[in-house]
Amino acid sequence: MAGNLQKEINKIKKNILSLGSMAEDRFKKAVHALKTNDTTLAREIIASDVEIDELEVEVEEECLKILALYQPVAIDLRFLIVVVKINNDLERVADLAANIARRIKTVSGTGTGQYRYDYAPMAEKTGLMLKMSLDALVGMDADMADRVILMDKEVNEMRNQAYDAMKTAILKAPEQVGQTINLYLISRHMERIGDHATNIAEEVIHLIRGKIVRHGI
Amino acid sequence: MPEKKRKLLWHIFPSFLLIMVVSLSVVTWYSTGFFREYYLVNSETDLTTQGTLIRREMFGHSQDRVNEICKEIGRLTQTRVTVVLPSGRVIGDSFGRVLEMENHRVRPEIAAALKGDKGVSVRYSATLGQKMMYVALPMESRGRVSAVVRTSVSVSNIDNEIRSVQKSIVAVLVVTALAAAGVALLVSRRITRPLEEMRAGAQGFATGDLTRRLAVPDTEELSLLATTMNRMAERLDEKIQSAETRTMELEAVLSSMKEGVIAIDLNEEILMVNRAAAGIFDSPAEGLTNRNVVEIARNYDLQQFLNKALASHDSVEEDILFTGRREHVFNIHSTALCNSRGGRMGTLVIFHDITRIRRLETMHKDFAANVSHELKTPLTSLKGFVETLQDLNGEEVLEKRSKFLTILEKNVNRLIALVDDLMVLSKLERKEGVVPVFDPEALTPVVNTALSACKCMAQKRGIVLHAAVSDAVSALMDPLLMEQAVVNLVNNALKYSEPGSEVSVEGGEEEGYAVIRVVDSGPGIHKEHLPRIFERFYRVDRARSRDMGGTGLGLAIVKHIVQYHGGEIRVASTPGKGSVFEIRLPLA
Repeated sequence: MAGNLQKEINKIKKNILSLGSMAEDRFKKAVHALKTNDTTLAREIIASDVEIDELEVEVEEECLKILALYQPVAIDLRFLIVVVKINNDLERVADLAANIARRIKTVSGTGTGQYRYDYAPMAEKTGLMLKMSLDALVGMDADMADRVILMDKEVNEMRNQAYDAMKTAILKAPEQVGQTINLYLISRHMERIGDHATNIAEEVIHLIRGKIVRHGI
Repeated sequence: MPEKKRKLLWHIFPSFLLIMVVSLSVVTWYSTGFFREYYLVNSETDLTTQGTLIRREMFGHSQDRVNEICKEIGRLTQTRVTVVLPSGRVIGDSFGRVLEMENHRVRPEIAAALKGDKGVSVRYSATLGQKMMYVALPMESRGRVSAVVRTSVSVSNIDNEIRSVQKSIVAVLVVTALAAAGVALLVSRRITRPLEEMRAGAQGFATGDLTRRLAVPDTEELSLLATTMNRMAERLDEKIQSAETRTMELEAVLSSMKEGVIAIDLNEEILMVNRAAAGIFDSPAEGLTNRNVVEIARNYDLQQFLNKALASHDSVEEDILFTGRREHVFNIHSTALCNSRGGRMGTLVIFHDITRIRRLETMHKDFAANVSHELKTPLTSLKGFVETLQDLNGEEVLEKRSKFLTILEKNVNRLIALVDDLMVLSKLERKEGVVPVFDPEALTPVVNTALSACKCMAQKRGIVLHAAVSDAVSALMDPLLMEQAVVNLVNNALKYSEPGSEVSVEGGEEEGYAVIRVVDSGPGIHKEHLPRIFERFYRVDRARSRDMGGTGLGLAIVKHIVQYHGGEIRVASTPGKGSVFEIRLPLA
């Protein structure tokens, strides 16, 4: 009985990690597509979002099945609850990556004088947050999760910088306001991905320390 | 619940005891029986003899007299004599009163005697309160039994004797039982002591100490066992040693492999991983086994690959990009992993780093494309101007000829420079692999010659050239080639520096190398370009470089020359502040 539960939990762990790597992969691809203005890759990302949705549903159903069948307690119970939440976060991350890919179509116009914004540093930071939050989950590393939570502020600051830059750009070239707004939305999406990474980190801390650290409590 | 094990002693002792008790009982039963039989036969013979004698004595006496004789014999011999008439009436008895005695006709011995035979009986006598043996003999006169003479003696003695013998035998039995216990203890000790030693030895085998040997006991069976176990330990030791050697060899081969090797089972859990593979995933090689691959390598493409590899029986191959600290392209190759019975166990994945090969491939492709492009540009312009010149009429020719010819000359010069550079490069490339032998040459003359070649250009651009080379330093080098390298570096520095600035060449000895350093204060090179500037035709700013008359091969030539000398070329640059190129050569 206990052995079976452990087996099921290992399976869940594997699935949530593959979901994590899928989400990470989508985000990286979206950033790459943004950098190279690759609309084909962007279309691919949008089309393949279904895979992530399917895996998310599968993981959630597995979790519910285990909860009903084994009535786990203590760390196992916490783990399953945390997986259900992280599952949701990862699915949202992949959604946001797909959203970034959608923006690429509208901002990739080749018109001269089009405003461009270098998202590389922000993408790098957000990607690092996502990677570290998943690493913290794999290695059960609460300290790393703490660092992820601290990084969220930096990403928020970067979003604000992007906001200011866009504002001046719109004032300079009001006729391109649509494109610039879309460009700004990308920073919003990245910031949201950072938020989800923070959520994952908080769940990891909850899992390890058994203490809920959400909302800065 | 396993049966409780008894000590060997408790297996031996009961059987010992049983044997003792049974044998003693049998002996006792047999000997007492024999003894009693002997006694009874003896008594019967005595009584018969006595009876025969008394019968003669009695013959012809009256009844009263018979009784007296009886009493007398009784007093003298302690033998009871009774005389009974055929009617059963007792007429004489040694101890009882004749008148009070009951009719004896039905007593078995008397009944037998009345028929004319000898009657014998052993039974309990109510008269005397003892167990008695009776022998009755008929007294015959004129062919008929006229009376019966019965002699009897007590046989209670024999029973008492036997009882006392039995009592002493029981006492002996207790003593023997104790002795048996002692002997059993001794015997079991004797059997178990070598067994105990062998057990200790075998336990040593079990815990892995296969070098010790069991002492061979002097019992044949046990010594055979001990020898067999020793042989087993020896064989086991050999087997384990060879297995360990094989494992270590395998381990050594795997860990010294540059390719990453990972074996995973059907659940994607790691069975084995070598150091190179652990390095690919940025994790220590220890403690990776039994963990899921996803935990270590969160790479979506790798997971897809593993799924494919585990689903197929054939080997699968793919190129995968890993974006860790640095970007690496791996050619990964999977082979199905089967156990000794041929069942599928998992898959073996080999990671081959092809980042360099990929880069070289792209470089070669780029090179071919670049060379043709670089050659085409001046040729197109040559063709254009030649055609225009041909089409011009007399007046126009005079007007424009010199201008066109200048352009033609410039393009031809560019072509020549390009072909020259390509020839230098190919010459250098041909030298690759040959170990050159150089003579020690001083740095100063080389640098000075190079600088005098560049002086003209420096003056034209209004840039001050500085040289600070220590005379004492000399390096192993080909002075002509090194001159060219320095000229290329200085030319580059002059090309990119603003008029009025300075370019300095320093030479000296540092950290065991001869160092030539070219320092400019030009626009500098952005960090992302630095790793690639030594590639052929790589240009930070294409338009500008060609304007300046560069072929795009200058730095590639410098790099080749320095490598040919077994040296090292370094570059440090801060955008907006300038660059420093440094050549390091082995000291003479």
